Amino acid sequence: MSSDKIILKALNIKKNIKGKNILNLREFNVYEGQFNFIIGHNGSGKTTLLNILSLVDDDFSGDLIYKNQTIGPKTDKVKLRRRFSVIWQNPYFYRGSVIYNISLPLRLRGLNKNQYLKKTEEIAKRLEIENLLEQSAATLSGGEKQKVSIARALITEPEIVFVDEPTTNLDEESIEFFNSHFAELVTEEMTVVMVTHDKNQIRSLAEKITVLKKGSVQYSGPIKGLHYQNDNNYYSSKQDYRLLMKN
Amino acid sequence: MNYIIEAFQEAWYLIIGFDRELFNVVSTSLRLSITSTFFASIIGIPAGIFIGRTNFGRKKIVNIILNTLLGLPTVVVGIFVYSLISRRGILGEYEMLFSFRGIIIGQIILIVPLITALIRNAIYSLDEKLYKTALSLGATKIQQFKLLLLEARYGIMGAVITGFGRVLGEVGISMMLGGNIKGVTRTITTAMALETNKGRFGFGLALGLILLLLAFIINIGVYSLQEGKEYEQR
Amino acid sequence: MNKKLSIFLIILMITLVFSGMALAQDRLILATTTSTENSGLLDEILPTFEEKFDVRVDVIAVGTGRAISLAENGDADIILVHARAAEDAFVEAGYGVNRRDVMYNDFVILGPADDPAGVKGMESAVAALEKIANSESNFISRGDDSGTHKKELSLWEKASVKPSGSWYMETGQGMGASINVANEKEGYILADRGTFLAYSGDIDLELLVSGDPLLFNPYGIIPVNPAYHTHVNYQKAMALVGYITSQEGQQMIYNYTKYGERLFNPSAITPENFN
Repeated sequence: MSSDKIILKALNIKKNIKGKNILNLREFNVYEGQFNFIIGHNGSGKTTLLNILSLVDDDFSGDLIYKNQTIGPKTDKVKLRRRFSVIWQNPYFYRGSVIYNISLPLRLRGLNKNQYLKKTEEIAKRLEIENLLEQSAATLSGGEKQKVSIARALITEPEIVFVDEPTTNLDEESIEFFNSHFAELVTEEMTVVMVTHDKNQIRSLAEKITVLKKGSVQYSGPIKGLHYQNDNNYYSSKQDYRLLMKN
Repeated sequence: MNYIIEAFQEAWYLIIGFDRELFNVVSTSLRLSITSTFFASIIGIPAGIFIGRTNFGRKKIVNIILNTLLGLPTVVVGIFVYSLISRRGILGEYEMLFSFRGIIIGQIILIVPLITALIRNAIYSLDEKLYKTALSLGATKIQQFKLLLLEARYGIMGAVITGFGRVLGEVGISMMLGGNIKGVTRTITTAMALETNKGRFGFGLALGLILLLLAFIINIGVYSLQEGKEYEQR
Repeated sequence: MNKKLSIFLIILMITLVFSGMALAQDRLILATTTSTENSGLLDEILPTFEEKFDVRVDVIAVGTGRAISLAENGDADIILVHARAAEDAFVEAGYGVNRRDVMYNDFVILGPADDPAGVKGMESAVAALEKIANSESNFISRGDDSGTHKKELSLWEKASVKPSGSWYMETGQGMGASINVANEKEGYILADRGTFLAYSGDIDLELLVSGDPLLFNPYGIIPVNPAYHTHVNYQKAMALVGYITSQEGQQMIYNYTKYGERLFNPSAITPENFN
């Protein structure tokens, strides 16, 4: 396992929606080349945090530090976003074919037709979706959508992949496919930040884990430190458990 | 009955014989409608996208005003613009009354609210996730806007075509601001309104048939846009 | 592909718009009455005038009242109308100068063939209207401040009748439309002879009263006063006055026939003096 090098750091992140505090983090670290998991109840702020980290949501206070550089108003966010990718829970596709959608991030980066078509074919082959390429993206099933969205995220070979509950609402077969293939698709250098409820994913993939409750960190550290009880509750220790119950 | 058949026959001969006056009128109508729709689109498309996309303080009022203007009768626009471009009006010196430009100004005012509102609705109906996705894919501001336009393209085209149909069929503005001048500002609708007074029913009828045909073509356009949209969403 | 197409379209639009402006040759706006325009006489006279004087005449056909108010606002260069009292007031107020008589036609009273008021063949239009009012037979009025409407009102005044009641209907529309209404309602109507001739084939109304000197309908042409509206095309307006009251113009009016009848009689020069 690689050494614990922080690629993205979030400090004193606060976000309010309509006067209500959604997120209040003192510190959150994303470790380079690792699977960083974020877990917690619904409404604990996981997805909100993911949106902030992936630079999709900039309506918050606090600092993001990418490779020891604070991201400020002068930072070229488009350039940074192009090093990141997001796999959404319910992916959105643009009007057009699957090829168009998978290759879109490369087109936006100005690659020529030969280049992006070649890469699209490669990634499609790895995800076993070559037969879908000519279809309209609007006609895909849930499982197919997830595969296409993984292809669209990984085609740019991003430094960090943000994954938001990738298998919620999917059928058994698609969940099986994701759990057995996702780790292979991600290269050694890639950093993964994943929000999930799926205990199989946590067990098999997680290297660092963060438990969120009501917008703040309950536990953050290696998976070994986490004492796992049932589907919906995550505690780091008996002491933490008691602490949690007090709130 | 005989009389109606005769009128239809005359109309038919005028159309298939490419009657010069008839097609002059049709061409004036088309040139006017295309020009005013073009300029109204230049204003209405960005305005509609802006209202649909951004949250600003007075948005509610803007929307109420916009919805009010949707039902604006053509004669109201006609009188309003007349008062501006008449010699006694503040824009009188530009000699726009009874000219092509006068009608175009009126027609633009008529359909800018229509196009803006339809495009606003098209933007509203888009999925919010589209914007976040564009960001996460690494789109620049311009690319985000392009993606938005592409996503809303059927709605935008539909709005523009609807606006075109509205100006093609309106009579109040063309009459008041154009004056139905033969060979200059005589449009399909003003000619129909006034030529029948001369007892030229066949001529009026021929224009009516052409207008009907144009409306039919416009609706084929709107329908096939709808069709394309559904095809991609299937 | 798409880019080229959109650039092409934009250029096309701009050309279209500017082509409308580039045509701005010398232009004379003639406001006249619908009945004059409908008669087709202007289509006969104006093309030769336009060629001779290198000017485009834009004809705006409206009611006499509206034609005069257009000229008062400076939105027309010259008017050709038929409502003598209003014309005089127009000149009196300084809006117009150099009025000339151009031609005349006449009004006629139309009515249903069974003639419920019994006016057929009467010589006095005023007496005929009195009879119509007394029998409360349907009467259709233009009600649009046109020359015809003004004439009608002056006749009612002479008959000392204030027309009102369900038998008296105002359409607010043009001559042709009003004749159609009268035809449907089987009512009487005051109409100019030209429009009646244009419609005579399509309606059941008959010509019942004509020939009364009061039904005489003179047309005058008046340029807008350049001292009042400095922008008007006064030179070409005077040229049109000159042309239409010249022997050539008067001859054209004299020679113009429709439905086999002469619609207007020249009044600037009598036919004996054409040569």
